[in-house]
Amino acid sequence: MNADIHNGGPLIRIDEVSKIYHHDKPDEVRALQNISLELFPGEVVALTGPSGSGKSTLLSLIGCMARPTSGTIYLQERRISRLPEAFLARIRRESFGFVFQQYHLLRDVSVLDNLMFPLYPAALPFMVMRERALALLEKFTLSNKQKTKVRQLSGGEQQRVALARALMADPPIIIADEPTAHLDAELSSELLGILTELHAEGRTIIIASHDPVVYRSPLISRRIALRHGKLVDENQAAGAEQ
Amino acid sequence: MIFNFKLLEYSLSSLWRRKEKNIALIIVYALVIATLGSVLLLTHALKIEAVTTLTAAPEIVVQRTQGGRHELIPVTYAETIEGFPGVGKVIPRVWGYYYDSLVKANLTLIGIEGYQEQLELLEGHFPQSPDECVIGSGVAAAFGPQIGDLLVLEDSSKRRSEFRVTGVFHAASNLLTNDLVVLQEAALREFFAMPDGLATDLTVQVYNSREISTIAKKIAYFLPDSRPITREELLHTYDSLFNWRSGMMLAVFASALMAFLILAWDRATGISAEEKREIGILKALGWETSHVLGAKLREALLISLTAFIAGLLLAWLHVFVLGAPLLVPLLKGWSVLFPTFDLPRVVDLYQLTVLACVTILPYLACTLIPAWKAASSDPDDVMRG
Amino acid sequence: MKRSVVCLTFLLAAAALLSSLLLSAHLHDQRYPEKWQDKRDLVAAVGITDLSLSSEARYTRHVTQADLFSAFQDFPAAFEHFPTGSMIPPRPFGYSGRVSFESNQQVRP
Repeated sequence: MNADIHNGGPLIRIDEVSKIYHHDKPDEVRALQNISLELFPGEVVALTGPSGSGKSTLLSLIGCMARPTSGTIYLQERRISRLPEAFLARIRRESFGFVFQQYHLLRDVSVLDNLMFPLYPAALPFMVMRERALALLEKFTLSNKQKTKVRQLSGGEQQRVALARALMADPPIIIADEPTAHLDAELSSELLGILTELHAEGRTIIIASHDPVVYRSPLISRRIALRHGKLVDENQAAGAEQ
Repeated sequence: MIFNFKLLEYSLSSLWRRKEKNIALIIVYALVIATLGSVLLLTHALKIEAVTTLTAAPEIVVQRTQGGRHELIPVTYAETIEGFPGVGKVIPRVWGYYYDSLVKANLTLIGIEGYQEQLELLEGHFPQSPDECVIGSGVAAAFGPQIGDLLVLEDSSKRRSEFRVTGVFHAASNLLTNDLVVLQEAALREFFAMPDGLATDLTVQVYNSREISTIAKKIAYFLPDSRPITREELLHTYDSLFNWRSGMMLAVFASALMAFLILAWDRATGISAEEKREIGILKALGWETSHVLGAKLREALLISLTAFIAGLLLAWLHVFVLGAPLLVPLLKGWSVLFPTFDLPRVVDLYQLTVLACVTILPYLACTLIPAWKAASSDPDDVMRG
Repeated sequence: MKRSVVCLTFLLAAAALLSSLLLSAHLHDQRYPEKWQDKRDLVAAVGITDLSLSSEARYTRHVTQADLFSAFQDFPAAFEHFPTGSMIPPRPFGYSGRVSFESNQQVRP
């Protein structure tokens, strides 16, 4: 695993972070308001809340895909929220594996290329990338689909491709936004099994979900609830029911 | 190096995913380049042909004007000019035009006197009697006669004159001789009913080429109704005839350039939603702005270089292999006789370099500018749309 | 990597073809001097002053010898009734066929 994790201190620290879209405009949206929280290495955190509560926004901020309007985000005690774009891109590439709600795969591109394209900027030889991608496809039983275009895959297969893509850089942190939104119960269970394996490898996992199958899973070590962009409840529930 | 190849790989994949649009783009772009390139190649080749061969034209040609119009020149003017130091032979020339109403062709009739030397580009020999002639291959093709046959023309009193063809200029000299009919001077005088003491113009031989303009000035001073045309002016006319500002260049160049600008404008007005989404995804997964722009630059370079090279090769084929059939009407107009082009294969690299800069660079800019806007936004903003 | 290798190979081959054509054309002066000499001999023998391009009108057939003074015949923007007249521009600006000569200059015939 590509990790440089310090034991003890928080892996990610979010300090009085707010995110406002279309600031000072008539269609202004306050997605997050003064959020502060700490995430520790090896945790499996579930962000819960109704639609529009700010879960996806918080994940975007943690994953360095957007900048907070105010406040600071730290990764391993390094302030990352105001870093130049080039540094943020590198952090995104090396530290995070993101699984989007809509998967955001390149639909007219083959499965293999979908895994490899995001890693092109990395200083990895082409053949090394290809071997890694093929190994991941085998792990997710997609080897026979490597040349298939993504638009020809089923929902479950696309989900697995998205997950495989997130693991290409062997990141220490996995971020998943509503990973079971398009899956049935069986596939959801299968996904949780994969996440359990990834957790066993020592990765930190942050999941945003309003699916009870996810946030009530024994995998989850902590639940964080959001409502209208604010933290509502934070309790540690190692296997406890809500 | 490996990174460059990886970006190129992505760029090719991106282009191939939109292959219908990109192939159409390359075709249109290449056709624009082929049009512009054809004009450049043709005009430059004609210019070189003229400037290289007409260095053997007379050093000075002296015309006479009266009442603002061209008039026949008295042969006695030759004696005055021959008296100038540095002047060699001054030869009165008889030449003119002949319109044949049947074939509807304009011919140029030139009279020569006593020329016996054989020429490589002449099959046969020059006229050695008043009823003989030499014709260009265009005349042979339009009127029909070959060596030994008769060429029938009507003189100024509508009387039928027959001339036996003793020579035909080779097709390789078409650009110089296509519509020529060469007769003995005396025969031509009689044909045109030109009095003995007059000529169409005078050709002046000057021993030292650096004295040509001085002697031309003297001619103009001592013969005020004369109009000397130096060889340098002659060459300069052809040098500028096919330059950037000429009618031919402007007519074709402007319209082709306009088509290209419309193409580039279409690119500049924005990239598709799908491409924006793709850029957002790649940025979310760790691509930097510079990587995205690098990929887009490669896409634009692939298209523009492919189109430019294909366009120029097409232009080469059109002009030097096929003889520029699409541009011929611009030069031909209503002419009936028009030479088949046997053009020298010459190019002006400077012009082609300018063409490359004027087409490739704006295209790159028109592709990169909209891509830059998407590439430099936060990935979250791009993916939210 | 196969895609990029194939593409670059193709592009380089086309560029090489074009470059070789252009370069060989650019060096034309060094080749076939006798071809040009034959044409120059012809020009000198017959007294040719113009290319035989557009024969539809005298001022486009003999561009260098055309009348300077005939109205509306030698300016592309003026009234025109021969197509090639609009393709062939007037004598370039500043380059007059009539050489001017100051009357106070001494000239020995």
